[in-house]
Amino acid sequence: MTKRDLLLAATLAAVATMGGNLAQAAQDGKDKCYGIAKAGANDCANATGTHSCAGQAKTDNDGNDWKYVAKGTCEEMGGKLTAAAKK
Amino acid sequence: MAELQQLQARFAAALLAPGGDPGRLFRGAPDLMARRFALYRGNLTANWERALANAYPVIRALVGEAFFRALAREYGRAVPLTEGDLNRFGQLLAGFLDHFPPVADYPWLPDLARLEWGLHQAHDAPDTPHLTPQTLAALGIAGLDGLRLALHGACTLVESPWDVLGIRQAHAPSGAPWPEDLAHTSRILVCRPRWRAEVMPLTAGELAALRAIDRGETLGEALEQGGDADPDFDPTQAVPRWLGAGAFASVPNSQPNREIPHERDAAS
Repeated sequence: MTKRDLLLAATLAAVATMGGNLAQAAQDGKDKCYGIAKAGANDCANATGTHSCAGQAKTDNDGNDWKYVAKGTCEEMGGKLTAAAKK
Repeated sequence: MAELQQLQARFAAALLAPGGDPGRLFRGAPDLMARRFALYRGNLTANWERALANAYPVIRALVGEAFFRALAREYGRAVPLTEGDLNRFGQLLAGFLDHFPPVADYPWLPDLARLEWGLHQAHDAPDTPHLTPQTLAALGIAGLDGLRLALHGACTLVESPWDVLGIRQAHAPSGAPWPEDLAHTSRILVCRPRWRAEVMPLTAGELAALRAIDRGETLGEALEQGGDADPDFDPTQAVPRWLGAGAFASVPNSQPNREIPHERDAAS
């Protein structure tokens, strides 16, 4: 037997012992979790665009009116990074 | 027909141009038409934004709502839509961010986008059968050695020099702390063992082996490459872990020289 064969034999043994439990666990999970919808994906103004109530009242005249400033949590984390950013 | 096509092209051009004016596309008072047209454009960009926010909640939190809204608009204009499904709208965002100067100060964003897109597409990938331990165990050593596997359709491999996993966890409802050091390598398998998309951190050896499998190399080759990449790589740990994560698609029928009793499993 080569080293690779030994490795494969050990892998095979490991796989064989995991068998039944996993399949059973997967089945249990399926029963309980039917019908999960991604949060926010099933409301009125959904992401598929079949409804668009969210957009009904918004007008958009000019696309060039935004400032390139990110005001999210990047700033909170960003301070730690300035040194590491090598661009 | 050519006239209709022209009309549609002018409509689309006015819609996508910043401050685009529908001009004489419609009958009626021009300023009223311009206002209604702006409403239509508002709907379009609001749909873009919602579609993108649905796939990239962490990036939205990172850059803030106003920036994200504008990003959605820039992205929607820059990347031509190739299909009608808005669920797929964000699929090119990572590549777009790679070359988007306003986010150059946040070099981890493109890889975070790759992670978030992996999770998004894991959510609605087809529910095709996973490779089971039983199927694998029935193959024997020679069978394992020459086996060519494919990652399950819900799975994505993500590697980044940034701690994108930590960034994501810091934005989860559980509220993990901010990553201490963002310059920390992430190796991730996104998968969907049952119904929920999950992330599984990988060792360097696991990633090397899974990449080899994904390239179409045999399992024996791939496991060897895992060992080359990482002396601590242990297939007896890794392979069961991967199977438990539902990492592979059920083996197709056309494996040469092997009879695999998978069809009945898949159908039952």
